[in-house]
Amino acid sequence: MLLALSYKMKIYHHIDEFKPVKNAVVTIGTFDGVHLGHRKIISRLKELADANGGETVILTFFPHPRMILHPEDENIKLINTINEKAQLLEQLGVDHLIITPFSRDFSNQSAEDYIRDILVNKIGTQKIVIGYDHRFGKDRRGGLNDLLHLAPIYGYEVIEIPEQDINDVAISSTRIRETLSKAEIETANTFLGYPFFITGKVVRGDQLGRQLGYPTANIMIEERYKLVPGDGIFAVKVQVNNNEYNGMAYIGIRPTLNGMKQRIEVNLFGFNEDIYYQPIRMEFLHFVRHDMKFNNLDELKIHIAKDKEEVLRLLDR
Amino acid sequence: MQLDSTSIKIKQFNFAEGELLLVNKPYTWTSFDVVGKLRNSFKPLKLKVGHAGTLDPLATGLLIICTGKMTKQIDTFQAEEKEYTGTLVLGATTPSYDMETEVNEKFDTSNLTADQIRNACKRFIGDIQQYPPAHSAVKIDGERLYEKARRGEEVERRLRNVTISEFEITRVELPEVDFRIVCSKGTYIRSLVHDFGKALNNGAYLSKLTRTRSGSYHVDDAWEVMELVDVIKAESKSQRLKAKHKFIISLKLCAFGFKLQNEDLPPH
Repeated sequence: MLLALSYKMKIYHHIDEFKPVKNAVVTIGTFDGVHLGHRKIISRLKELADANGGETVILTFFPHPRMILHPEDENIKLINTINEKAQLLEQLGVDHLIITPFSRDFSNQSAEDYIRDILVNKIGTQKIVIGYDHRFGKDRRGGLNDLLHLAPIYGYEVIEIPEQDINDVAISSTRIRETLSKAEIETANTFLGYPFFITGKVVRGDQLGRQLGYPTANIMIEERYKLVPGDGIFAVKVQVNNNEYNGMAYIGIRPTLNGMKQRIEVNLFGFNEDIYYQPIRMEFLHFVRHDMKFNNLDELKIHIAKDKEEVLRLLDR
Repeated sequence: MQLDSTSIKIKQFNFAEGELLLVNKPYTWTSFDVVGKLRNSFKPLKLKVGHAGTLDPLATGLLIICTGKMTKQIDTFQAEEKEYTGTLVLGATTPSYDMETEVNEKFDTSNLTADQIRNACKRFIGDIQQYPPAHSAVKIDGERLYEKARRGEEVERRLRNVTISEFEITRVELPEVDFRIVCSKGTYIRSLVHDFGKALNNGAYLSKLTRTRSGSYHVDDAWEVMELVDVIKAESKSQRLKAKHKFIISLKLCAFGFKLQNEDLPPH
């Protein structure tokens, strides 16, 4: 992103790195997707912090326990990698991001230990913004009522996000993940409030696209837990080498070539440079069509030309 | 005689029809002791007697007693806002949060200032969540919490939402602190005091508590229990006498050919 940020969000990879700040306004959550619902919480957080010269703090959890215990489990897919999430939160103007792993000790804490040790003593929470349904502590027994009960005792204020507000937005990370898996890009983007994107590196493919007249960059994503949209052809915007290009992307196993492994490829319009091993960021703007198997490469080539026309039309709108 | 000094309070009582009685609960009596005592004093009449809003044995002050048909309104009185004055002791906690059990933990109070203490109570004003004390009459699975607590069982307590509309410190002479509080029904002052101690990074238990008001009824207008018992006895005695006189008159009238009616019969 070519966003000029006048400040930098501070990131902590352990709760102990964090030094209590003045008037900390805190919220807790996984914030997968940093979607419109999350944005509502964060803007409330910022309002409260601005009102009395405080600083905004987000406490998030990474990695998820299942990711540590079952690294081979392919079912845990997240809308954002932890770095993408940090980027998005920084764009929203969050001051501090604490990334803490879900250790066993951590999840065995009683609600009161958690509130006293982490929220009060380590973070110095003055205000906490929290959804009515937020659970924490041992067996997830802690909740909003515990936070309310301990508020006068430990001297912080609880700002509850009412059920109505959360339901009004009618957005959940789970729902966005479902729409993305079905390649419903436009719907997902509406919920997210920004175009869904992936970040990765350009790797060598088998140069087949070049032979077809559509050279593609093969994108490798390092994080196995990153959610990749369902198979299909997409209209995209790509940032690479400090430039932005339009393009058409392909996600699928290349059935015409009897492929097995899922590929993410992108053909950049008006571009022909060597970008191997460069970091690349790709924004998904529109879904064009589902993946199809063609009888031969010529048929495929003809269809790619049609796809390109459609992509140009969509991007031009 | 007692009756003379208190006779100004006497109006026309009709206990059976339904009366609301304000009683000052004596120290160490349970709320049920008070009800029992009054119920006995109505004998041989069998009257419905109940109270609104239990006070702990170690608390004193206003207890609302209802008799007869008035018992149907107990819930209404119970729902009223309450005012208490009391004393808490800083620097120690007890399992019951009051003086019913021994001190189990001690804290240093030498660094506490009156300002800190006054400021901490502001944090409790408003809608708050509190746990009933483990030693409380709240029922879980049909059993009172204090029964489980006495067996040393871990009790699962549920948070309840209460409203504190006023909470002020009226005297600080460490370790003792006097306070006045106005709160919604169901507020446990013991729990509030316990939490208050924690809020000062210290400990506290309740040493004295008086309910001064319930809704618009004030403890200043309340009977002492024995006083009221005397009045009740005198009242029913005079009613019995009246009835007896009426019976005698009826008998006399009978002699002149009037028919004796059921209500003319004397009670017992």
